[in-house]
Amino acid sequence: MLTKSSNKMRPVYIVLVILLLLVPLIIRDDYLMHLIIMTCVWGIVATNWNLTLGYGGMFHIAQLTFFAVGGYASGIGAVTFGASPWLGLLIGGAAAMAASLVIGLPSLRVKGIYLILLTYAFHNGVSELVNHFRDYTGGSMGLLVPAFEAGSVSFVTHPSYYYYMVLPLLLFSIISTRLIEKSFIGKALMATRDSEVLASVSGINPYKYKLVTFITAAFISGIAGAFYASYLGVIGPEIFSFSLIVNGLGMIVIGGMGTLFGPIAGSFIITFFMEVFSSLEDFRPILVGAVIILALLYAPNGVVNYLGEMLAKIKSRKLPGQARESGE
Amino acid sequence: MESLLFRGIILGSIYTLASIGLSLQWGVLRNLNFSHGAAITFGAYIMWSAFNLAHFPYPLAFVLMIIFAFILGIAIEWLTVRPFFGKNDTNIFIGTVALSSILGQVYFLIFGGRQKFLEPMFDGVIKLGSLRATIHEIFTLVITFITLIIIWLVLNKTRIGLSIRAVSQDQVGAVLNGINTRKVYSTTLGVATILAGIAGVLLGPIYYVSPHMGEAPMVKAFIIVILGGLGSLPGTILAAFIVAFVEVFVGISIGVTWAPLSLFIIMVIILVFKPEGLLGVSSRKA
Repeated sequence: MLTKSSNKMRPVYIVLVILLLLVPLIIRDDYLMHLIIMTCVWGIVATNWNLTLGYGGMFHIAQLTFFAVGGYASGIGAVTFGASPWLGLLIGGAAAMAASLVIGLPSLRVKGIYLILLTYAFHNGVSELVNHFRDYTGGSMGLLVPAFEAGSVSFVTHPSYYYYMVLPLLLFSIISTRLIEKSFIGKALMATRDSEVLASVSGINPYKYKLVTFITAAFISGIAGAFYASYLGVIGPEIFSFSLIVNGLGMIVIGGMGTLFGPIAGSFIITFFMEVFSSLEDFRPILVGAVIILALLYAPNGVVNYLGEMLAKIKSRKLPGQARESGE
Repeated sequence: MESLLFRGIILGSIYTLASIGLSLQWGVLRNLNFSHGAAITFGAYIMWSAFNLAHFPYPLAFVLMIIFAFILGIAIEWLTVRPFFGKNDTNIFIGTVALSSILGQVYFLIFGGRQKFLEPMFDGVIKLGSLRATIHEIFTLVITFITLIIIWLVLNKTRIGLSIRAVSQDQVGAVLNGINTRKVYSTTLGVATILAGIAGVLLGPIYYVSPHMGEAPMVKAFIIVILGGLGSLPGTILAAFIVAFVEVFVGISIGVTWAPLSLFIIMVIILVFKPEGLLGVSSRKA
């Protein structure tokens, strides 16, 4: 729907970006701003996860490992070596990239359940490493990460500064996903996803393209992880928890796997869903789980597509002659 | 030394029970169930409630646990496997992950986050030469042995067991021979959940019962089924004991935090160099 023709949609995108830039001027509530920033952070993770999962067909859970590695790398850099959080962003991205090489080189040779289990094993392995080197990582207590500063202005009192940091990263994720999708890499990836044998026969080396995408996605997630650690001021082993895997997968599934804007819609839905039902406290994970299963059952292509289909159905009822065209 | 060996054997038998269900499921569904850990916890909690809240005698509580676990297994199949089977494997994974998080939270809401102590059937300690063993440990060995024999009998002598094996070997061939594969899927999930539940009951007195107690054994069960070769029952049993011994000996000789790390390293090495596992059939259809 939204990906139909980029030329026609260009003014819409420009207006959308301008609107997004104006958000902090419109919303004066700090708490609401916090939710929007968290939506952006999870939107980055989900978008990059979706790049490898939805477009690349690599079913893995390493994206959260990269997110955690990025956060911990910047945290360790700040606490042990006194690096500024700005440098931490780079450290986080680089560390996540290194991790993606270590994880990707062996893991991407296998697929299906083996890939899931291997990345799950790495996820737990990294978590065990963090637990093991508690002198650097703070063990179960976690690390206190300093906040961003520009000159003498600390960002803590200015949520909008954080927003202007995270928004470009989110836009960059979307653009890089789009560029990869349109490039030869993306074509090769999707061909591999749909039929690895056919792709190999056509002279595509699936492993190479998978690895390139995997590393790109890891780099951005690592930066997001570093941002997250410094924004919240703390990074602890909860970042490896199972419920974050559930939430992350939920964002992609609810939003729509393999769509450009689906994961962002999903992270918006899940982040605000958790807040709207905050009075239900402990019932929330149950609700999120139930929503994921319902989405799998009734809207397997995601909410964005589901609404699009519904819209197309309503349109086609009014104009029967055009029903065939709106099927895409 | 003997006591370490003995602990390895005890741990290995519990791991066997925890992972054989996964291996059976892989054979039939070509998929792994990420709510298996929640099934382990389920067994322990049902046992605890039947024993401590309803004050049933131990054998009755055990039978009750088996019935409830079977129902849970059928529910898991109905909710997260049946709608997606053969269409979208990744949805089965996501569905079982979501279900596992739901179940974990339900346990938390019902039983609270505080750890519960599940009493063993027999208290006490016996001495065998230089070896000190609790009676619960002997009980664990006996239960594992009996369960394995029953599973063997079911798989080899009963109609449903033969159907399960037929479906594992060839789905289409089984359908052509008039086997109701739907029934086989839900029975397999039911049996797997019972096995997980028994593992939970045996783990209860050793560790404490808490809402997420099943997750660590589940991760180990994944390592075990991969190491042993997906779908191979003898491989699974062998691997369960290897993992248990590695855990016990690495924990004692190098340090407790190295035990999970070494298991994880073993799993990566196996997956990279021999994904079909120790005794698995070399089929990379996954």
